[in-house]
Amino acid sequence: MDIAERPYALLAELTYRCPLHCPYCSNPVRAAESVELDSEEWKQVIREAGTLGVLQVGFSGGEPLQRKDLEMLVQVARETGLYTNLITSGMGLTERRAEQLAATGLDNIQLSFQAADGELADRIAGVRNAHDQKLRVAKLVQRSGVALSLNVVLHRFNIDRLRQIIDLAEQLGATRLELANTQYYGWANRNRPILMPTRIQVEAAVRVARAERKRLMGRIEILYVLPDYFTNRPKPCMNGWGRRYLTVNPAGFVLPCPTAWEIPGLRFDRVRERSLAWIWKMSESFNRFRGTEWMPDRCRSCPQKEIDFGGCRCQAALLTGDPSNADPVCEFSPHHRLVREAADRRADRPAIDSLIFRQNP
Amino acid sequence: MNSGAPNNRPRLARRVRLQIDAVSGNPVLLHQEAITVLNQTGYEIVRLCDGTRTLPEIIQDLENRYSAGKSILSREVLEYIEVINQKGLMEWT
Repeated sequence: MDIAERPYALLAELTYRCPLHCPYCSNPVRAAESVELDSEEWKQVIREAGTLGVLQVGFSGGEPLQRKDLEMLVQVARETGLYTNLITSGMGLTERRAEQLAATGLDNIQLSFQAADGELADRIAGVRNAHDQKLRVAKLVQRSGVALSLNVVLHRFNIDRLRQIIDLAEQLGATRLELANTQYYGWANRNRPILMPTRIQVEAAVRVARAERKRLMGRIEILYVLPDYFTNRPKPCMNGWGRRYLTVNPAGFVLPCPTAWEIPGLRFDRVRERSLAWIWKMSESFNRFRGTEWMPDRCRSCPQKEIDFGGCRCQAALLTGDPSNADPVCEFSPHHRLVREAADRRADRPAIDSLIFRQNP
Repeated sequence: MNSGAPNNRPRLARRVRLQIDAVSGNPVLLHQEAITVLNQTGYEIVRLCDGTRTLPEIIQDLENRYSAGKSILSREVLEYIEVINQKGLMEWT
């Protein structure tokens, strides 16, 4: 089997429960159901993923620390030979849990920050003192010996303070910093007109990120995720549908991408009824946008089709109503103006206090 | 090189795992959201970066096993380690 014909990373969304209320949350506005997979079911998922060729697992959510069996699941993943990453807000990480996670062989902790200054950060998270808790958690992680990386979602209210965010990553001893512009899916899409930065902000941020990446090369890996609304070519979303990644959501549904749940007309299979291998190879959802056959004519004749794979299906569905359309980020999409107008909108940008905060189960 | 003084000993950073991929049989470096596939020579080099050997010792070890000329081998090994170092995947003790 070729490396591209098997999944190589699993995103295990253990729960949708989360103590934070970030307005840019990309989880579905309405989750399928609230019954979560139990420990035995997750163990089975992890082992099946290993057999299928998966090399990495990200434990995510919601907030994965809400699950008491997290340490045990990390251990199972390590025994299966998987590279393990914990994607967390840090809320709920005690010294004891940090030490236990380190003892299981956890490879990396990706800690989210909302901004570099506490006041703004707490305002975005919707929780008082969340920022201070995260600063404490970063120190706990350092002491535990597990590698630390930081993730900051960027938007109109924090993108001008990129340098301070990078300083924070340096101070906390992070080895990687992901600067991810907000992706407008799920809950985030409700707040799009409020969160969207201006083109001037975006261009200034790119310059800072480039310079800092160079300065910190070899010490901190800086990943800057471009805001696709400000580009003319779509991102190679998931490196192609059903090509490298799988996501298992809290209820056990298996998705080709974490936000695919909201694509209308797609039916997903779940690990309670089918094996992961069957779902990966045979399921309707994983085959629906595989390869290039499903593409509209304009995409099928495009030299970029094996490079960007037609962009993002979720975005096509969300903006045009049809997931098999070209991603409107593409300048050749007949719907491209939807993206352009949203990006270039200048007047009437609502203030920060009009943000709609995430409500969690 | 960032910290590649002759007496420094490189080893893979804590966030990186060197492993043999069971499906393809290839040695791979696993790190966050990335997989770097190594060739056999790369694997031999990286395996020696375990924090106990200096750069000259790593080169000496490889020389004993391969017949390439010393200067070519030395340059290639240093370049290879530097590429991994630039990605932030190496630590120096």
